[in-house]
Amino acid sequence: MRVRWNGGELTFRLDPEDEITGRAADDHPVKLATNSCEIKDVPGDAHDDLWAVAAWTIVAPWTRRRITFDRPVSPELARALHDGWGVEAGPVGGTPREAGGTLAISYSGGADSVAAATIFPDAPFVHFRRVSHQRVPNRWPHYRSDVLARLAVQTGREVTTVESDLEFTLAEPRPGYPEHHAVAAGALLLADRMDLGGLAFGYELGSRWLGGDRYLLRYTPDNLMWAPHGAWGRLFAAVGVHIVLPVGGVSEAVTMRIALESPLKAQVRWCLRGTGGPCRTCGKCLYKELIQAAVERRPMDTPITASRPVARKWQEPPPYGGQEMIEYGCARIPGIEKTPFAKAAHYLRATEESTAWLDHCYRPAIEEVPQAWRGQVAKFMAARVGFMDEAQARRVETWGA
Amino acid sequence: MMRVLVPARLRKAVRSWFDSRYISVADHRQDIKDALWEVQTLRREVTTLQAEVQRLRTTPRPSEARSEHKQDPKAEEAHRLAFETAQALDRVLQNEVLVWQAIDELRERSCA
Repeated sequence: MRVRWNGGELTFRLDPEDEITGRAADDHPVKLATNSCEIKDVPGDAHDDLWAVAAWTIVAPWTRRRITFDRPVSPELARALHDGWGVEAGPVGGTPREAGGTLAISYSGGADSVAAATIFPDAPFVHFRRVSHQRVPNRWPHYRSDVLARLAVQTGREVTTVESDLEFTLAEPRPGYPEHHAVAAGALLLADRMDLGGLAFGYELGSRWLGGDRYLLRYTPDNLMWAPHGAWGRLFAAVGVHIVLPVGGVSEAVTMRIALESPLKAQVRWCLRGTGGPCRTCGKCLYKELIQAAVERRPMDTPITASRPVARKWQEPPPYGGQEMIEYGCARIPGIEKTPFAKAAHYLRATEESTAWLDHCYRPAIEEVPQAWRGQVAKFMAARVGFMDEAQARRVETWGA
Repeated sequence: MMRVLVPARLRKAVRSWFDSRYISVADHRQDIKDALWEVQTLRREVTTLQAEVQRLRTTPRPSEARSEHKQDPKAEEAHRLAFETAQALDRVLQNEVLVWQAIDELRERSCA
């Protein structure tokens, strides 16, 4: 892989061993759409290593053995790429970037990042906004990134919105971040300007410790994507932008509760489609309604029935992505047998007791937060959530076993 | 208590005046019957509507755009063409990446 930046425009070329179909960090096959993208309005004077990591968040799935940057990368960064991916990076030269003192929040507007933002009420936001790609026809206009960007501004926080078409470098499964970390590409390039030492994400217990998302049902202490000692954690640390997961120890039930009690409550939006409010008909809305109804201990309010395509996976037996939350919801929602989750509830047979661990914080997640910000997270969790006891922590550590 | 003898004619007049102002028992019965019938009709209608709502919920809703296209063959054709062109462009863009990969490989080989 050879990458070249021209201002905020990234172009890249495949080496002979690289292929159109690559693999993301979670081993999911991803197809390349095109070899250019742009990150708008980024400073030209960012540290060389920041340009390299920003590019890596985009091209990593399609890089097999080596990557050649258009400017030297520090030996430390080259080592992180080598140790993490077995990739030879060059040219090597220069010194690594020193970590700054500021923690920014990679803010999407969903319940999880709102919860992270609530823990750090003074942290500035960096919001990634999808824009159309010049070369790829946008067949996904239902994705309302404009609405999400407007809501981010309405929070009244210090917000830097980074516009980018980088998601269109991904053809299949559909446009999106080639790696989850590509959401931070803009924040990385702004790191010197914002004096960043850490970037906080809304990844919660499920994503960090329980597999989560495309990973299914396994305890993942060495999570490649989010553990500080994982490949990505070490790469970000090598450019002085530590990955910080303020809500990494709590479930989506807790982040939901924190978000709904937050001063940012009016701006919470997990739906990518709705304009005046959540669309209520997409899969994300269905999943989040399950969690919200469980937290508020009320029947589900959804127009979606079991026969709709978005509800299909809940008619099948487990495992499910985010299964811990399905269990949590099924155990708590009155009248679950009249919802699209009736079958799942029948399969899972979860009870309030068996899911009580999801109401507390997993302590090792706090220890992972870099020292500069650990105290604030620990204080918040002690005051507002409470920690898991030993038996509950064992539930995390035996997840999927 | 005092009873007063009222002439029959007057009594009848007063009675018929009262009767004209109030609804008879028979009429009341009829009204109640009518109301009951009304309630039952409404109940049937609500049941029908509920079934209809259930039916609409379960039948997949064709997107508005698609149903419009159905009505207009030209629009449908344009939609098909745009969709297929975009899909074809995907391949063109991917091929471009592969062509550059081949060019670079040849260039490297000729340099070596």
